[in-house]
Amino acid sequence: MPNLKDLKNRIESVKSTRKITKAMQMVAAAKLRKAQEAAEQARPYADKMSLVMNKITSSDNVSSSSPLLTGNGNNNIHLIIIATSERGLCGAFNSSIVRLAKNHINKLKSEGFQFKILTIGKKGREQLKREFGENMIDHVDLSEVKKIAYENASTISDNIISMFLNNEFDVATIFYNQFESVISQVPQASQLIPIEINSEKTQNDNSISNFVYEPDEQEIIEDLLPKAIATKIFTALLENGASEQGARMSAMDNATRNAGDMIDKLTIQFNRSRQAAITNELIEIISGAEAL
Amino acid sequence: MSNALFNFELVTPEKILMSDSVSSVSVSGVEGDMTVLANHSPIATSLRPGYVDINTNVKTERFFLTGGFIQITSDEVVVLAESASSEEDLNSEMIDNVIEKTKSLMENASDLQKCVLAKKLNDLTNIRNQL
Repeated sequence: MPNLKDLKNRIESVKSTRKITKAMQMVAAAKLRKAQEAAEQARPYADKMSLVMNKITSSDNVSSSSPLLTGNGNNNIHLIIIATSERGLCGAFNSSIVRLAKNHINKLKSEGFQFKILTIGKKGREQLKREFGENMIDHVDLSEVKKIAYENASTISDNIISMFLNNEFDVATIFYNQFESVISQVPQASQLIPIEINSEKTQNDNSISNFVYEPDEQEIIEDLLPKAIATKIFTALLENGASEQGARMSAMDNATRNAGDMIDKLTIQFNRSRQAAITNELIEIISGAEAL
Repeated sequence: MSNALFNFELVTPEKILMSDSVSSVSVSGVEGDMTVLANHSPIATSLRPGYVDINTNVKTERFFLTGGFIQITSDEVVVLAESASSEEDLNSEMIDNVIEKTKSLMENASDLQKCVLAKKLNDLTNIRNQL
């Protein structure tokens, strides 16, 4: 049985761990609110953008030869973009993205496709380095970025688009965590190039037909496609940011609770050993007195 | 002078900058400047770098856009701006940054995109010189 002093030390150390996790939880909660706000404020632009893209691509005058929209005709080399966090201690946040991406990669592998990996965020790179080190072509470091701006996303997307135009890959997919709630973040894959446009909503919209486009649809598409891709990346990064904080908050909440449980257990053990020591002493004193 | 009002939104990737009932909006489209009043016919056009002037019946506001897109439908006018800043925040340094970025984009662009970017570069330089 550990002696009283050891127990006391352990209780102290668990207590200070609990303080730290509690503080991290509160910081994450504050950051989560901000990240959620940022994600919400970015939503109108993304919605409007996809609406406009829908309208234009569904109009008849588009010959739609843009490779960003239709692909370059090949389907051999896949670019896997994996967005993870820069910091750890956020539960299964990073590993769930990495797991989804790995499944995807292994499927591509077994079907005989080539693949390249671009990582955003340190944690994903660390987890993938050993297995797919030779396939990793680039890494985007956002550790210095406090608040993700559209600039960050558009830099990434410009980079990707120029790689695409140089025929370095044929299909690009981004992996990130979709923020559902504080306790649930769903890892997702979303195809960037050729860009996916959901054309459900446009069918019953009559206002499309009488639109006048200036200059013409083709040029507008050339102008909008890079922006649409950047917007997709931006949305992914913001969702990821909110998810990260949510995941960290619940992970730290768990840790705080576990530390509390541990303190309770250790305290009981401490009290018992103290009582045992006292009883022992009493027995010694009594038997000493009886011997006299 | 008070004109009929219509709904107007100025949206950037980061947030909705303005959402209001306005009486007129002037933008610089790629094919020329235009002023939108209420009941404008539906039109969609790309915007070149330049100012957007928004006139509600009470006040006027002016923003600088580095490019974007305007969509006019029967019930609302939406400007999707790449980035927008109010006139006070505008400085030549900021435009220089955008110019640099546009130049680096041009290196790998397709011909059609190059054409668009070159026009943009030209507009940016003009605005830069006017400051």
